[in-house]
Amino acid sequence: MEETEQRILRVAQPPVSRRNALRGVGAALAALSITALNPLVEGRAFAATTLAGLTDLDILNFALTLEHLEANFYIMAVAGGNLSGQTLSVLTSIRDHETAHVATLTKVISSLGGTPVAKRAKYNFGDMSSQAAILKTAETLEGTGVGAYTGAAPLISNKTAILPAAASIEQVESRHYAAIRFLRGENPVPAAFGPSLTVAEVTAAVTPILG
Amino acid sequence: MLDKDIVSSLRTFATSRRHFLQATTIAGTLVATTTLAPSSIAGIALAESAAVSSGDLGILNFALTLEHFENALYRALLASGLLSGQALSFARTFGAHESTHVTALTQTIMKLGGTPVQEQAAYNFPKVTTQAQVIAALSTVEDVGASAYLGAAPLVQDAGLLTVAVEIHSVEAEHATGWRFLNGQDPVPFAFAPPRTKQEVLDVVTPFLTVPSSSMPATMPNTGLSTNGGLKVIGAVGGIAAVAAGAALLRGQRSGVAEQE
Repeated sequence: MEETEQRILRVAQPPVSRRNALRGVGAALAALSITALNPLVEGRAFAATTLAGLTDLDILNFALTLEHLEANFYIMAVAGGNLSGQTLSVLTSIRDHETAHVATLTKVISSLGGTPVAKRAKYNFGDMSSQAAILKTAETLEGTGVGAYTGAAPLISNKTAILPAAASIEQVESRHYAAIRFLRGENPVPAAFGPSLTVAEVTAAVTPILG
Repeated sequence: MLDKDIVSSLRTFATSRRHFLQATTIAGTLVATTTLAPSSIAGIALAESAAVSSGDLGILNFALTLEHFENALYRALLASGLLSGQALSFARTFGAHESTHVTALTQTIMKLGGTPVQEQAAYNFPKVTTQAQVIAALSTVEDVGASAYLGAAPLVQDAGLLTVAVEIHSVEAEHATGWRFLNGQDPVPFAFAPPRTKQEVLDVVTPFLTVPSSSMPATMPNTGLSTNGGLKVIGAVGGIAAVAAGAALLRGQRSGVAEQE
């Protein structure tokens, strides 16, 4: 729901004064900020995107927001008639995976007493008119998905059930990412370490799609 | 003790991957090294005094044990002459990743005050004589590696180390995906990846880590595999020869690492 997203956005993009206040805080909070990018590397101000205050339910709903987006992208892509051959076959499998992720996350959130976010009425996926365009968008979505799960992993409180489940889904998103890159004729594994993104970075990447 | 340098050294390796959203055509990138000065990396606010549990060190050494095996296997296979085309390209790229993982884990364990496990003098590698067999073997090895990290990562207590474990976990799964394509397998076989416990991983890999004494060479071969029936069999002997053969590649990477310290 948008209320949850707004809450995530508030935490992910704290006002400047709060960022300053976060400098030099204790180890626990600082440990969380490991996921923030090196400001000198990225050429931007240090983002205290620590997710402090987010519960596991918030993180699960954030994941569900992304899974809804991915599931609907692949549903549209497969139904659109512009895919063929191995690309059609693989993207159909991926569609089913993302749909399964949506169902599972929805169930988990409900069982924990939360309110699962619903899918948007409309997404802006851009050009869906060709296989090449669809694969290009898919690579961005999958890369964002991997980075989102990886960045969120150390912030999950429940280490015995939710963290393993999130890591399991993260691996599947990684496989999707490599598969899409392979289908695009790219090196399927571009680096020795997978990406890790902050909520702010993920939000920035998907906001245009969420409209 | 977890100091800035420890996580920084790991993050250094990971940093270049982060640009994937802007640069989606990084084909050919072999090793995720950067040219960052260490002083700039140390600018990240890190856990200054978080203690790393002995459990974490154990997990890191277990991961390193598997990475040594994978790294040595890729070296042996690259030295075998069995590979060509896309399989050869993948083996070079993915093998370099495993080498980077070995270096990163070794450095991290040392900086945490632990004793990193060493690469074995020999391994009981899968016996392969064709490229198709190599591809099938690597598909299995990488799938097992991914499942091992998936089982272990949630047990890591330190947040920074957990993140890196998940990042490596991603890459093992991506390697498996590449080999699955070449092997004609479903490249995306499940919606939820299955983990393996440490014992389950050991059940699978122990035969490869155990070298029968009868197959141990009396002396270190120094002429590669050229006398071994035209490189038809990769075994313990081939593995040792490949260690020497791959030294130049490793040396180059390690010097790159040293420059970052």
